[in-house]
Amino acid sequence: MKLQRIGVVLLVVGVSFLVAINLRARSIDSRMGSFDGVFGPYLFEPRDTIVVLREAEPSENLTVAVVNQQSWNPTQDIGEANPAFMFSGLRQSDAVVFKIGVRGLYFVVVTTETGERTGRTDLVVEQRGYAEDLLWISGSIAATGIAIVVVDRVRSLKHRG
Amino acid sequence: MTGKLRELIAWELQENWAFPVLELILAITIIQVLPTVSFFRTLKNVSKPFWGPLVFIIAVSVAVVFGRSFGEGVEKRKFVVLLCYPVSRVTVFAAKFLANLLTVLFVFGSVLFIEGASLFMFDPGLEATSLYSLEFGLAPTVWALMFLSLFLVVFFTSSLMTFLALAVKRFGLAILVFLVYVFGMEYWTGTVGNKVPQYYLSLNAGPHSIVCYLTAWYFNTFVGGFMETGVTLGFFLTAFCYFLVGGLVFLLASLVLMWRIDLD
Repeated sequence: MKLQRIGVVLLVVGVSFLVAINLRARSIDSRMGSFDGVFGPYLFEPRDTIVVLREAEPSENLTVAVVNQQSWNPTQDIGEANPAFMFSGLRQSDAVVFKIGVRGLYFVVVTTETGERTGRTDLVVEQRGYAEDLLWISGSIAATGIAIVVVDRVRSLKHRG
Repeated sequence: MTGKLRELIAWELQENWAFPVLELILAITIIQVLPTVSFFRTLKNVSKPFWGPLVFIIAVSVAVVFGRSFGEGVEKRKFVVLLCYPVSRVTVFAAKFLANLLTVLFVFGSVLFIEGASLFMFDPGLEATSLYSLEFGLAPTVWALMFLSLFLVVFFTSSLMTFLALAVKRFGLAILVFLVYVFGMEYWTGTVGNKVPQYYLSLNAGPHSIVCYLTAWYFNTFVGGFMETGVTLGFFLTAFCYFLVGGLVFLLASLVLMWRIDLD
C-alpha cells in the first residue's frame, strides 16, 4: 500500500509538471538596450530562442554570439570566449533563431566585422516552445510512478492468487 | 519531547498525509508556481514571482489543514475522544499545531527549494548589470531570507486559522471567515499604494519587502556597498511585526481558547 502511494504521488508530480510545462510554453520576451553590445546574462532554457537586432551601430556586417556565462566571465572578450552559437553577416532588423542545448546563464554579444563590440544596440530576446529538459524530467517522474503502481498491483494480485 | 506529544504528532501527520491531501497540494503548487519562472532576472523578480502565485495556495492549504484539524476536531467531537486519553488540552493543542505547521512548512519549503534551484539562485549572476551582485553573490542570502519570510507567513496564517477554527467551532465557517479576511486584506492593500505602511500588511508585498530590506541591510552592513530597495525601516517593521507579533498573539489567544473551550 505504501509503495502504491509513492507511485501515485510520483504520477501526480509528473503529470502536474507536464501541465505546468504546457502553461509555460507561451512566449516570453524582453526588449533590451545597451551601449556596448553586451546583453544578459539570461537564464536560457533548451527551447526555441529568437534574437532580433532592432537597432545597431554600425548597422551592417554584424555578428551575434551567444556565450555561456562561465566562458564569458573570465576575460569578457568574444575573441577568447567559446560561443555556443555564432551568426555572422547580419544586418539591422535581422533575426536569428536557435535552440539552446543546455539550460544555463548566457550572454548575447553583438560585434562588428572587425570583432569590436557595437555601440548603441537595441535587441529583442524571445523564448518559446516546450523546455525539453523539463519535459524529459516530467516524463521520467510520471513513468516511474506508473511503473511503481503497476508493479505493486501485479504483486498484490499474485499474493491473492 | 514527551512520548505522548510525539505520538499525537505522529497521528496528526498521518491524517495530514492521507490520500488525496498531499497529492492535491503538490499538484496545485507545481502548476501554480512553475509557469512563472522567467529568463530575465533581477533581485526583484526572483522574490516577487514566488509570492504572487503562492499566496493563494498557502492561504487555501493552511485553511484546509488547520480548519480540518481544529474546526473539525471540535465539530465532530474528535477532541473529546482524544482527551479521554491521559493527555492535557495543552499537549493536544501543541501536537496538532506543530504537526500542521510542519506539514505546511515542509510542502512550501520544498517548493521554494525546487524553485530556487531551478532559478540558479546560487549563481552570482543575479542582477548582473550591477557589479555588487556579480562580485559578491547575494543569491544565497536572498534565498535564505525567502525561507525566513515563508516561515513568517505560514506561522501568521496558521495561528490566525487556528484561532478562528477554535472561536467559531465550525470547519466551513472558519475557512470562510479566514479567506474573507486574507483576500479582503489583499484587495485593500492593493488599493492603497506602496508609499504607506498598510501596503506591507499584504501576504504578497509583506514577505517580499522583508526579503528586500534585509538583503539591502546585509549588503550595506557586511559587504560595505550601497543598495537602495525603496523599502524603509518603517515599512519593514510593519511587515515583520504584523507577521511575527500577530502570529504570536493569535497563537496565545488560540491556546487560551483551547484551555477554556466547552467541548460538550
